[in-house]
Amino acid sequence: MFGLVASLLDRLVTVLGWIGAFLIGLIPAIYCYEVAARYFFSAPTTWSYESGGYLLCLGTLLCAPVVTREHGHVAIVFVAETLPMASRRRLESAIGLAAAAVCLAVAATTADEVSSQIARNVQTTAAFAIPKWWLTAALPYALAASGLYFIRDAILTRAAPSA
Amino acid sequence: MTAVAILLASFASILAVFLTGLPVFVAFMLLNIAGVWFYFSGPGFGMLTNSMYETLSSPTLVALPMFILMGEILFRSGVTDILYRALDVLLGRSRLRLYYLSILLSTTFGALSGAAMAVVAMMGRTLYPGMLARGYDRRLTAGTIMAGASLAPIIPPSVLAVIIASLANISVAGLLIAGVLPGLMLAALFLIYVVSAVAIDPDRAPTVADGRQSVTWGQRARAVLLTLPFGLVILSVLGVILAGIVTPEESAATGVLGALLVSVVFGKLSMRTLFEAVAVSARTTAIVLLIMMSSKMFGQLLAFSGATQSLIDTVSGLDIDPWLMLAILMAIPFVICMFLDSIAVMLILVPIYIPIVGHFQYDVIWFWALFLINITVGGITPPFGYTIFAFKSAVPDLPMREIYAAAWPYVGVFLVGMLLVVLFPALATYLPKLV
Repeated sequence: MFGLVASLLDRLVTVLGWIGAFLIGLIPAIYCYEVAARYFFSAPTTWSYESGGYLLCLGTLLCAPVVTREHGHVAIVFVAETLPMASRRRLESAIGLAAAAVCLAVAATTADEVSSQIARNVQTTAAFAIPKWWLTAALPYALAASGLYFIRDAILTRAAPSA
Repeated sequence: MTAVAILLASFASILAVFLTGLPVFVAFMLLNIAGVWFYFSGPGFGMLTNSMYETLSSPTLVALPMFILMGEILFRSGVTDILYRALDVLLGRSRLRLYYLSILLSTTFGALSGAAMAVVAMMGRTLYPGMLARGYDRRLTAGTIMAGASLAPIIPPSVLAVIIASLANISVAGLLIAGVLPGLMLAALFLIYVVSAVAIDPDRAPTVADGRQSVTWGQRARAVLLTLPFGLVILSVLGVILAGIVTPEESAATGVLGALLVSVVFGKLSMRTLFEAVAVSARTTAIVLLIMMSSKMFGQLLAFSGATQSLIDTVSGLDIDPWLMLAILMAIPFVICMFLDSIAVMLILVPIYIPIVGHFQYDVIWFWALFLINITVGGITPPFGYTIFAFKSAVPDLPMREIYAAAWPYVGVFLVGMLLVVLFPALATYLPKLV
């Protein structure tokens, strides 16, 4: 059961990670289009400036769990590195669980806020407005998926054989 | 609890949480939860979502993934190798030739990529072994590569400049352009240092010009032609900002287009390279922006607690000389960056510094340009500079103590450079005034 859930999570995160990367890759295309539209066709767009921000928001959040899975987050680890291996493993496991607790707690609060935004039909404050939850809905996903990866790492670290 | 006590407690708490090894973005979130709970209780958590959303959707930060993508395209496609060979041909037969090449390359790469770690890793793998084999001094070589790569965040395009400008709420274009002259000046200082070091101890360079054949005028002309497309990339970022044609965010997009065109011109662009570049850029963006989104609330909580205002009141009551204050403001990140990640340091310090900079009426572009250089030095300041670690990973055989010894003289050169920017503010402010 645990393996199936982990595998499904991996697949979901991979697919959404690619979509996130695609969205980030769209940003330069949109801004180049804006420059061309402004100077070559005298027809500046009304949507490019803000849509860059929207794509950045969604793209970043969809890629975030991929970074967590690959242990890519910045952390100050030099204190942990001075510890003996067994103590270091215990610390890393505890840190993983703490990180998971924080991510899942914030994911829950953001999910609350997203449902409130849906209920109130909150729009982004921009000339090119869209429902805000289209973007913020990725927050609970990014944090919850990262939280699950932190839990998985904590369990695997604890279970790993001593060197 | 007084506001100053809150400020000190917050600062100590975040440092303590960082040192546990918790990912930096999680550390900020943890303190945000505690802060929101303390000040607002349950209903305040909606602010947390909105604070994170505001950072992530900030149009100012849109330049960040594009600057990263631009560098990734150039490095992954391999066109930078062409630039390397062309500059090598143009440098003639001086016995210091490869030192010059190292500095020239890193300065040029700095203008093509905004990240020091990518430049140092590439040059560590390619240039360093060749220089060692030809009898160049290993400490001077390592130091030249690390220091040269550290120009990348100073010379635009610069990821760090975009982050600082966004946090300090100043002109992104202004801060990007402000890095041009200090960056070039630092490159010149590195050259002067290398020449002086070899003049003092001639054994630090090979006695003959590494046996290379003389270069014909035809080869020189071809080399010049090969460098021209890279001028297009620099023009597509810097030129269009200076000309006032586009916004900084759009210049990042035109820079990506320039990088793509150069890769196509040299026949080096494949779909695989492009996919990899986009994927890595997206991941790097996620790493940086997750930290930024988590830290914003930290600054907002500090302001809400009254700590920021109290800090201004305290500082204004000190009757301290502005120059001494500047020295203190620069010394703090210089020391902290020896131990902590530079982005994390920026995120803690910038919100605290903003009112102080306003109180002392420092020119904002000048001050934050100095801050940018200072943060950049942190990358090569032992013991925990990220550029040092990137170089070590590229050159695993070189002992860490040798790398530290190689870095220190260049830290000194950087400090001299910062002093010059302090004494001659026009170095940082002249070009931004033209925009």
